[in-house]
Amino acid sequence: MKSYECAIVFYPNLGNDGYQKGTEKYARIINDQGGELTGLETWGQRQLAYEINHQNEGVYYFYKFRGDNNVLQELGRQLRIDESVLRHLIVKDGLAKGDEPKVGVGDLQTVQSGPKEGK
Amino acid sequence: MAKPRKKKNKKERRTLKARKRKPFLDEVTYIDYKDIRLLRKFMTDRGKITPRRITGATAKQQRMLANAVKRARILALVPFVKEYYR
Repeated sequence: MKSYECAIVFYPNLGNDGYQKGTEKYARIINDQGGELTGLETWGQRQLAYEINHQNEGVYYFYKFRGDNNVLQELGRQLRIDESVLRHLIVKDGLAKGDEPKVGVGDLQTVQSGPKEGK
Repeated sequence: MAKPRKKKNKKERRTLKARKRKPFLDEVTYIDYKDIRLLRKFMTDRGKITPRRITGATAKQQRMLANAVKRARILALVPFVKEYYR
């Protein structure tokens, strides 16, 4: 199995419950398709570099996981349907070593972090 | 009699202008699309990717850089273009 990273940008006005539900949903999808979650990060609400669907802000989440093709297909399909998602991106994780410990859906901790910004 | 000043030819002037930046990508093996600070260093104020002849990046590095910038653009972490408002 290869290591992947999935970035999701949600709409900014979903409320705490909405984000909880959203993140759990995708964690479950990855898990159900036989993928192995290894981490979840969030940058919180942040200014977009350009307007998307009349929104100027978005809420960023980054999943790290290992999985096969069917995980990616199902995840991509669901993300495209979901109306609370502004943008998503699934790419191979270039920084992963492939031996990160697996985390269950229930034990998944959302890690607050942020980008290195500035010039 | 003063010597007539030697005229600079076009080629000479261009090489001076396109001065190479110090290669601070020396030990980079992977460029992450989330590293906005790094990406911004290799973009113009308008959001264009700076060419290799100015950054001094190797072909491999420039490729990684371009891919990272393009990914970051999809997620609206960096702009595609920044319009200049008056």
